[in-house]
Amino acid sequence: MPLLPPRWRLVLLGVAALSLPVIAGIVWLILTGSFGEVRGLVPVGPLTLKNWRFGNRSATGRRSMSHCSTPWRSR
Amino acid sequence: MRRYWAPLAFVLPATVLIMLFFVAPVVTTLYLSLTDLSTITFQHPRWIGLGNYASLLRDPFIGKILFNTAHYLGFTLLFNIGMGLLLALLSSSVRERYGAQIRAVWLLPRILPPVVYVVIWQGLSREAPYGLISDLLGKSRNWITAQPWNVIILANGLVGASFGMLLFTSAIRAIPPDLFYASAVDGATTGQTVRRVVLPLLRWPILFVTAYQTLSLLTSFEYILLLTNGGPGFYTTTVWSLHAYQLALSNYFGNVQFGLGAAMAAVLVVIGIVVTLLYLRIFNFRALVGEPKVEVN
Repeated sequence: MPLLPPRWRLVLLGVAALSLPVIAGIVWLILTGSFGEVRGLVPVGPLTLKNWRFGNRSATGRRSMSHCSTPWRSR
Repeated sequence: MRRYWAPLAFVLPATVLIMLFFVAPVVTTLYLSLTDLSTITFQHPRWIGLGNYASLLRDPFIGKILFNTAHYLGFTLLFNIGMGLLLALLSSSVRERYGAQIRAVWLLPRILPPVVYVVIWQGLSREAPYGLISDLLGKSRNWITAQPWNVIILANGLVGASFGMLLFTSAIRAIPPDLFYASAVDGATTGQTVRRVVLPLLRWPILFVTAYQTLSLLTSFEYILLLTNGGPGFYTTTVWSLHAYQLALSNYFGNVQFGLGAAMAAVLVVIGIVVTLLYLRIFNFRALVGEPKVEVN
C-alpha cells in the first residue's frame, strides 16, 4: 500500500494516542512490581525487589528447599 | 469402489479427530441437556426431555442475560473489527519501521496471560490517587464498578483488535501493487483508494474475522469473569456463556447443575450456527469462493 501523504501524518499521531492505554498498562505493571507504592503512573514508594521474591520462594510463600537450612546441614 | 480408498484414507484422520473433539462433545452436551444431571442427582440422573429448556424460558433473568450477550457481542465486535482495520490500514501506510512498532505494541495485550491483563485493568481503574483513569478524568471512583461494560468492552477490544490487525495487514500486503499504481494514475485520493480498492479486496478477511470473533466472543467469558464476575449487582454483566459456566461448574450453593448448563451451551451452539449462516449470507459467501470472472494465465 502506498505511503500516506505528509498531511495524513497526523493520523499516525492518532494511532500513537490510541496505543497509549496499552503502553500505560504495561508501564503500570512494571512500576507496580518494582516500587512500594504507585499512584497513577507515578511511583511514590521506594524502589524495592520485594515483589520479585517469588523467584526464590515456593508457591506457598515459603522459601524454596534449596535455601532452607535442614537440621543436619545446620549442625 | 477401490478408486475411493486413497481419498478416504486421506480424509479419515481428520474425520476421526473432528468426530472425537467436535461432534462428540456437541452430542454429549445435547444429551446432558435432556437430563437433570447435577451434583445431587449425579448417581442417578433422570431423563427430563425439554425440562431444562423450559426452566430457561421461565428464568426471570434470561432476557437480561440475552440482552447483555448481544450488547457485549455487538460493541466488542465493532471495536475489534473497526480498530483492527484502522490499525492495519494505518500501520501499512507508514514506513515499515513505524508500522512494525505499532503492531508490536498492540500485540502486547494478546501475549499477556488474562489474569495479568485483568490485574492491570484493576490497577488502572482504582480510585484516586492510585488509579490512572481516575487521575486522568479527575473523578475518583472504581471504574470497573462504575462503568463495568465500558471497561469490559475496552479490555476485550484491546486484545481482540490485534487479531484483525494481523489478518488485515497480511491481506493488504497481498494486494497487487498494480492496483495502487492504476488508482494513482486515475487520480484517486488516499481515501478513495482505501474505499474503492482496499476495502472491496478485504471482504473475505473481514468475513473471516467477523465470524471467528463472533463465535469466540459468544463462548469466551474469562475477562468478564475476572473483571466483574457478572456483577456488580444482579446479572449486570453476566453473558450467556458465563451463566452457563456458573450453572454447570461454579455455583455458590455447591449444587452445580450440569444438565441446565448443558442446555444453555446447546442454545449457544444454535445461536453460533445461525449467526454464522447469517454472515455467509450477508457477505455473499458463494460469490467469494466462486470461480473468478476473469481468469489470467
